[in-house]
Amino acid sequence: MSGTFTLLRPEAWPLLLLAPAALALLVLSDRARGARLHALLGPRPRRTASELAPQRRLARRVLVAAGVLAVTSALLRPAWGDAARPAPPRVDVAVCLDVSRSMLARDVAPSRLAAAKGALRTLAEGAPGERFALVVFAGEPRLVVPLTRDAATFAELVDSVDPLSVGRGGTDLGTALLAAADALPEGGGVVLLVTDGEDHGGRGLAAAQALRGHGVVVHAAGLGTPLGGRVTVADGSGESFLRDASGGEVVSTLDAAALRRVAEATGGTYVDASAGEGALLDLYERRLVPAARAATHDDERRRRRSRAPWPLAAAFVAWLAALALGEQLRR
Amino acid sequence: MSAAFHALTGLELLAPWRLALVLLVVLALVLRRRTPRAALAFPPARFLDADARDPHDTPAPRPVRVRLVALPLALETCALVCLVVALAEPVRRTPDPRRAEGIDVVLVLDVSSSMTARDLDRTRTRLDVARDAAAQFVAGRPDDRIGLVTFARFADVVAPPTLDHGALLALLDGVTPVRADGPEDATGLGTALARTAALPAPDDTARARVAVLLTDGAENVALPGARDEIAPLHAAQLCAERGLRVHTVAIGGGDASAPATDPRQLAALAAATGGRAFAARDAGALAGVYAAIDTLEKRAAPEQRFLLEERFEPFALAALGLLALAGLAHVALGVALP
Repeated sequence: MSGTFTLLRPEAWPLLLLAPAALALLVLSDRARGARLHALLGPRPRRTASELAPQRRLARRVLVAAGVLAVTSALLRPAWGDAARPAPPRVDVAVCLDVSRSMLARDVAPSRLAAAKGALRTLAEGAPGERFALVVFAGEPRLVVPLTRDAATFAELVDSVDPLSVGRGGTDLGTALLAAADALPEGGGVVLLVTDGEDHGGRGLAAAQALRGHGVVVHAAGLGTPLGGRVTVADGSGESFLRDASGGEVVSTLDAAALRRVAEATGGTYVDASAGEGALLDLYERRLVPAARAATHDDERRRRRSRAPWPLAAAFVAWLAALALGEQLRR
Repeated sequence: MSAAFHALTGLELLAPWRLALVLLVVLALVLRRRTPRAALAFPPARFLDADARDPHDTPAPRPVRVRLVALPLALETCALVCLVVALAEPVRRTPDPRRAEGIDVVLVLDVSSSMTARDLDRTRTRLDVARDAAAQFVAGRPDDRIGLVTFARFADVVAPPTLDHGALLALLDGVTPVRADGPEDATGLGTALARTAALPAPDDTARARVAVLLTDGAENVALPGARDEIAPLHAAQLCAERGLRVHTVAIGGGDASAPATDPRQLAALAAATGGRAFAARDAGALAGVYAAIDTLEKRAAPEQRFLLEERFEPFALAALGLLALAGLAHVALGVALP
């Protein structure tokens, strides 16, 4: 990858129009000046003109305009020659997985949590080379896997979590998002929120807005159905449905609108992870990879050193010559 | 010069010697002065000159226009100076946020119940001492990906190799020994090493992989006759095949009641993978062992990388602006004749 000519700031091209504009202005003003001179001196234009060395003046004008052209082309940051090793676009994904008991609801087969694990496994297998971290949360967050390229161990540890992985019950989205962002490196990354959208803490949206300032994008994947499902719990004799204090069965529903708001507050998207195992991998391919590619491209453009000194040197020579020429008489 | 520039703008010059081009600008100015200017022969000028030289006459106050006659030239000169600064390649230097990834180090930690013995240090258990020493080791290797595997009867990957050392240390803190005399209270060195070898190798195969196996016991899972268990030496061969160097650390020995390590076995494990076998009888010695391993696995310290971002644009734009001003001044001041 060398030898190709590129402009690192092509969007500055309108600056190039400055040079012809400057030349036109200078020549026009010279003409006006010639007319005034003519008016002052009367009808002896030819001799005077030769004394004032118009070619020399024109040369000076052209030199100045050429210098302007060179400086403006330097501002486009031309680059060539140096071996720029293209860094592959990389995404750091902190998965923020809801393991509260409502995730045991079976409105998604086999259960919300199992479906989420399946989708995460598919994602880890389909995105080799990316770094993943895992934070599980219910009433509080817990980091299970620090950011790693070891997708196999990540998938293995994803499989091992359940509502007992977290000490406190409930769903506190706010602290969970902050903990997930903590697992990302300084420059930011992606938080992939996998939840059924209940937020008892009520601070999810505020946390998401805070993350945006740190370069973190939150994508949300919802699990469940709007109709909801009863929450299955295992008891001594098998399984039963979770009941609240008054004895009624707890029905948990998916709040997709709230999740969408959280995601969109950071420029992320919302997907329905109930759709199938490939939902998260699809999100990765459709949104995360293009974003990473764009970010890498921008970064490379910023890092790469241009060959601007060459056109700048040309401009220096041209302007210096113009300065030295002055508007002298040829004797 | 470069230092002064840095103090003034917060920028560095990659090619400060190019500032010497200013001398050329001065030279051009001198050349320009020495060549006669275009002028019109204006007969009364001589008398005007004579007038001005009359010592009895106070010279008439010069109008602003006349005083500013040199302004366009001054602006042009400034433009050239700005261009010279742009040519000297001003850059902003910031630490590169992209972290270099060094080697992979996996800490393989024995969590059998004997790790609760307090023979290394009177106030702390073996596990605590090992934890502290490991934490110190981790702190000294900020660029390496470090993982954690614990084992007793079975092996668990607590943390896959990661650069997030804060998270790793938190996970290390959460490690607890298995219950004494429970079904898991055993020492499965072979299982632990096999699990460690199975961690994926870094994409860059040239990068070293190292495991530090810390144990206070001898293998008692894969005993002769036990089927379906991985013998330590077999596991070590697996490690060697997968490019994983194993350093072994035997701790304990100060407590007769606790099971002892098997130095020959550990030495064989280390030798099979190209690692070294260490032993520590107290906390200080263990810290020394980790320091020795740290030195063994030292690479040339990755120099702090910096981002050098081009910042010539403000100077180039200033040059353009000054030149435009010069042209404007030329017209506005009416120094346009001839």
